[in-house]
Amino acid sequence: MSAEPAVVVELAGVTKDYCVGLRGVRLRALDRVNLRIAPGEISVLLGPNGSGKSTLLKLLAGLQAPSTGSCRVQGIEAERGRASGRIGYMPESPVFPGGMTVGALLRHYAELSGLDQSAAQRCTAAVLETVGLLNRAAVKVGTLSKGLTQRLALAQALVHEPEVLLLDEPTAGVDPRGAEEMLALIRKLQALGRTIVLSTHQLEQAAALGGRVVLMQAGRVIFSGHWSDFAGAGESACFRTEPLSPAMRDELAAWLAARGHTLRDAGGAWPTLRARYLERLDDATGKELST
Amino acid sequence: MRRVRLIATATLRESLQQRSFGLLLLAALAFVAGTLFLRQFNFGSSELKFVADLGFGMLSLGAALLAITMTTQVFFDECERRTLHLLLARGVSRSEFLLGKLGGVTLLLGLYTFVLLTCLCPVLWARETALLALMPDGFERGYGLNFAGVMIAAYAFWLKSWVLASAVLWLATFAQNRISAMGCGLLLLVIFHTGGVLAVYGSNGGWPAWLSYGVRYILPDFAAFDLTPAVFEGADGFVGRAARLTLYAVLYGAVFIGLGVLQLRRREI
Repeated sequence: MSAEPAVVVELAGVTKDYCVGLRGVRLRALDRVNLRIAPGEISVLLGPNGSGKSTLLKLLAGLQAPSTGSCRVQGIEAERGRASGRIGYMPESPVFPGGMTVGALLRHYAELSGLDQSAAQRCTAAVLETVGLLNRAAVKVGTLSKGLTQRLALAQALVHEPEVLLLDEPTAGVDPRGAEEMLALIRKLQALGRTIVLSTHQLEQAAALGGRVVLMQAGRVIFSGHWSDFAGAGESACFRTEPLSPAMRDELAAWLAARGHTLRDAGGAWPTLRARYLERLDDATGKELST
Repeated sequence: MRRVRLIATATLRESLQQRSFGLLLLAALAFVAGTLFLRQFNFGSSELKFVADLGFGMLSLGAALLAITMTTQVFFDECERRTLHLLLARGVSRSEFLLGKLGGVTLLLGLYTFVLLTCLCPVLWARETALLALMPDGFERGYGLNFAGVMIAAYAFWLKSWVLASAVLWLATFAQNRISAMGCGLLLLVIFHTGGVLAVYGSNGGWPAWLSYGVRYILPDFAAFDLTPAVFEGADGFVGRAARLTLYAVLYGAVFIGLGVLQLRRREI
């Protein structure tokens, strides 16, 4: 009997260098990244453009090899697609051949994943239902809206029933309603036991997903932890309330004091998620400059 | 092999939906059918050779253009649309990807050759019949054309375009964009045709001789793929040449694809 590994995704000392230009100038995309993700966890990669989020996902998908260190998915080296059966990868805004139908495209990807024709047929029907595209199976891919195309992209990542999902900006370019539907879909997949690693620039969407936050800057992980820690709940937490009467305020202050907390009025300086995010990036930049 | 077949089939399906393929095929068919108007001039028995030369010229030129443009297109479409990511993340190897793409283009080139032949053969047959009725003594052997020879000549042109497609696929693996890959592909087409010309200059010795040896023995010699004499001389003797030519083409195709796989492994996707 083999116990399920406590870590599904593991990056150990991963550095990735790209050679740029004719002179082969080295550009460091990832710098000594260490990360461990538990089964069923949802991890959101945050960070500015060029911070290494997509590179990290590509390494996990086996599209690229790390310069040093190792990327493992369920204990298998991800390099050269060795762990491909366990991974579902959705790149940022892929463009599918417009002439194929949704069903045919998914069957094609299912068969490329190694499923035989009958299994591909069965998995395609199941995944179409999961992502809500069952009534569009016979529709040409070229006629789908951006939101539906993103759902199709998610469907192709799911069609071979992988344990780990790698999603590169799944809501990029999608309208708010479409983005909300996509997030609901991602939460549903997590509830089904899938381990999800996704990158995004949308802080509110990331907060809505909860789970672990991995903040990256210049190829380094500068924060990795739960959302409550990221938002600063360890030091302070902000709540918006209706105007409180002095008696109610005193009562609340006493209740908090009994639990070791102090009540303060945030007033107009309401710390937004965006402010926390920028603050953490600035802190990391300051530390880097001082060293 | 299953993945190669799946990629090849998808590539063929996508290529057939390209407007450029349809336009090129229509233009080639119109050109071949247009050779019927040569009967307006009084070329005598030479007319048949004119028609065959023009038909095979169109076959060769069109297949070469298709090999360059379609191969570049199917490769860069996958890269730029990020669908290559989806294939590689599924465990499709670089060699399976390139072989699948080459397979799709090979089928497309075969289809182009077949369709053009189905137009060229009736044209040649119609003119042969008419000319034999007009001048029964105009042809030495009592017939103008050997249709088995027509097939062999067409097969050789298809092989030539296949070698070109595999070379262009190799170029595409390290080209930055499709324009540079197409430009280098056209350059290769010219260079692969220069073997015969350099042989003339190289017969005097010196550096032209070395250059001639280099081009003729390192790079494929496209002049060797011209088996159009079989159209008039009969297929005898050309079957063996076509078999040797197949080995020659497969060897070069394998080298180009091997180099392409090595380069694609180094390329950051």
